[in-house]
Amino acid sequence: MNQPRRIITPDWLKLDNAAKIYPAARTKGWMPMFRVSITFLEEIDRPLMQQALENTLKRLPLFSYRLRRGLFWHYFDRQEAGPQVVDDARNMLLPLNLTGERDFMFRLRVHRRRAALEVFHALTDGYGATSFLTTLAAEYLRLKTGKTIPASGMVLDTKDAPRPEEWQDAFQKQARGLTRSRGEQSAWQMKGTRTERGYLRVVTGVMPTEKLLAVARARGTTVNTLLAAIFLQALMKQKEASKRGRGKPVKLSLPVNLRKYYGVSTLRNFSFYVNVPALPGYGLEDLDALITYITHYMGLETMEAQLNARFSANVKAERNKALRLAPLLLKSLVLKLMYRFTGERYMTSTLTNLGRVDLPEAMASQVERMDLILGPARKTPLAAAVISACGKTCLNFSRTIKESEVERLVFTALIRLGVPVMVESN
Amino acid sequence: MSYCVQCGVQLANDLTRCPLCKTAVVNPNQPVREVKESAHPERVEEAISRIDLGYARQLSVILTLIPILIVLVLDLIDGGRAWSPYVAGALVMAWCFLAVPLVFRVKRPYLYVALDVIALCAYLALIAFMSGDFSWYLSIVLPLLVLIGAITLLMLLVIRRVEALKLYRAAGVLLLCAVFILGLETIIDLAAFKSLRLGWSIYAAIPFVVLALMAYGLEKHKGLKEEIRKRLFV
Repeated sequence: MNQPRRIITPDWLKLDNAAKIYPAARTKGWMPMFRVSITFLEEIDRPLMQQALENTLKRLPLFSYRLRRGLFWHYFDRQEAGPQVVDDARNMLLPLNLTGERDFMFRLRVHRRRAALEVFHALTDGYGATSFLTTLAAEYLRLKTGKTIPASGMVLDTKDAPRPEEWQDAFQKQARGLTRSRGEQSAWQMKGTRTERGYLRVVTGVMPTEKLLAVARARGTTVNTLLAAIFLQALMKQKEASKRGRGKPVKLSLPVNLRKYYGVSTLRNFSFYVNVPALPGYGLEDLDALITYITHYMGLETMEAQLNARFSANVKAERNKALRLAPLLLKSLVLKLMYRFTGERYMTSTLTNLGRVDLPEAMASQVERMDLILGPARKTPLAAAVISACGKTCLNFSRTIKESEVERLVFTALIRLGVPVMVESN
Repeated sequence: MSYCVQCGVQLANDLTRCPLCKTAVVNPNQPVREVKESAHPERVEEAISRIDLGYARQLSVILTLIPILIVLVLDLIDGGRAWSPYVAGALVMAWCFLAVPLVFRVKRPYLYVALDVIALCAYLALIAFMSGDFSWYLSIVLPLLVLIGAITLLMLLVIRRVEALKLYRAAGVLLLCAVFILGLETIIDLAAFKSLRLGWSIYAAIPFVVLALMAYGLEKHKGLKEEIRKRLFV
């Protein structure tokens, strides 16, 4: 009888194309991170959650790598042990320490009924992190209730062997020769009163998914476009009120999951962004006009060839011989300076939407909701993230300034459209 | 569940103000109460920001090596009298003085002082070598630097004895100042006259010794110390 082939996870991995900028861009007090959480109906049993984490890491070993520095590039080094589950804190998304021997690129925080995964963006994107978290949650429920949770969608079976396509750098594989210039117009930047020590203020709006979907359909659009239009409208009002940056458009960065274009199942970074520009006074004040504008703009920019040309430009830059031979120290300095001066110039804020996460029935009955929170970029003080699960859509705004005007405009707009919103805050 | 009277949003039970417009929660039917389960923990974690010293070390070395290489190349192109060793030596010395204490963290600062003295000795030795004359270096400079280094280290030792009372430590430092002055004249005499004839240094050292004795005596005499403190406090 043939023995099943044993998959050996690599001892080390190169960083994917999108991840290469993140170690250079981080500073002592800031790191590109995001957080995805799941709230159960009952209080979490921490020893069981720790066991579930260890089991899940065997299935998804990508998360047990640590970041190391080579002579020319950073790389991921495999570790055998996993991190400990830690208490959650009111101030979320504190930078991870990556210099120690046992430091991982994520942490798992627990508070009462909620388990939250805080991840360094060099490791994975929202899709990869959500897959990890939902698999972890399924494993936890299996350990707790003894019932099998069937794997489906993002939820993977911890008894399966790891698959090599899960740690594949899809950017390298899918890039083609044709590239497109990355040059864009600079965006208007929001200003505000910074919070103490960069404390991240989070405001969560919880809405019934069906109601939101119904409102979007009534306007002939999708939830993503509707929310983007409302957010963009709020940002334009904020720009008008600030009386700064005349002539500079408000630009909303909308990440696009590239997996659906290429049928890949990598859990590493594989998304790209589209910066949608809008200038007040060009007929975009009306919500329906904005919806039409965004629909057509995204329709063009999210054509496979357009996206491929843009990320192929990044891959081409990475393959440049002079760049590859430059010592990492020099590369990091240059990347850091490039990020500081150009990295966030082209967007005012970000809205990321993971869409609806379909949990297996046996699991959905034990889960109240899921949340996704983005750490704002270094200079841009506000970001928004949406995720839907178990009939609830959670729209999380995260900011490092005290003013909450944009959130107020967005949530009151949703209420006027007939979507009831329940608000929480830290 | 309460609603914000301004925004119209429903508010989580643990909120006393609307997080969007800061309006106070007003619900006569449901006064704000102690909530057993709040959406977020009370605990605020302190961010531990650690500087990656390994990276900082590498960076400091690279930033020092780059100008050294530039001056070496320029000197080679120049082809005349070699001047680059002076610049390179100065840069290495500057690295020892400025970068080492920042990127190499040790518990006791004696190593920094020792390294600084060694770096200075080495640089001046280089100058002596380049000029082809070691006499000034061996007769004055080297003994003087060793004296300065030894006195500095001893002073550090005395100051860091935190269990000793302050005036005792001050007395120790003043005595070391006196020793330094005597040592300075000794070195100068041996260099210039090849014999020891202490003169001006005794007059300069006496006030330091007197002050040291006064500090020591004052610490011993608690009553007098209190009297002086009463009259001279600021």
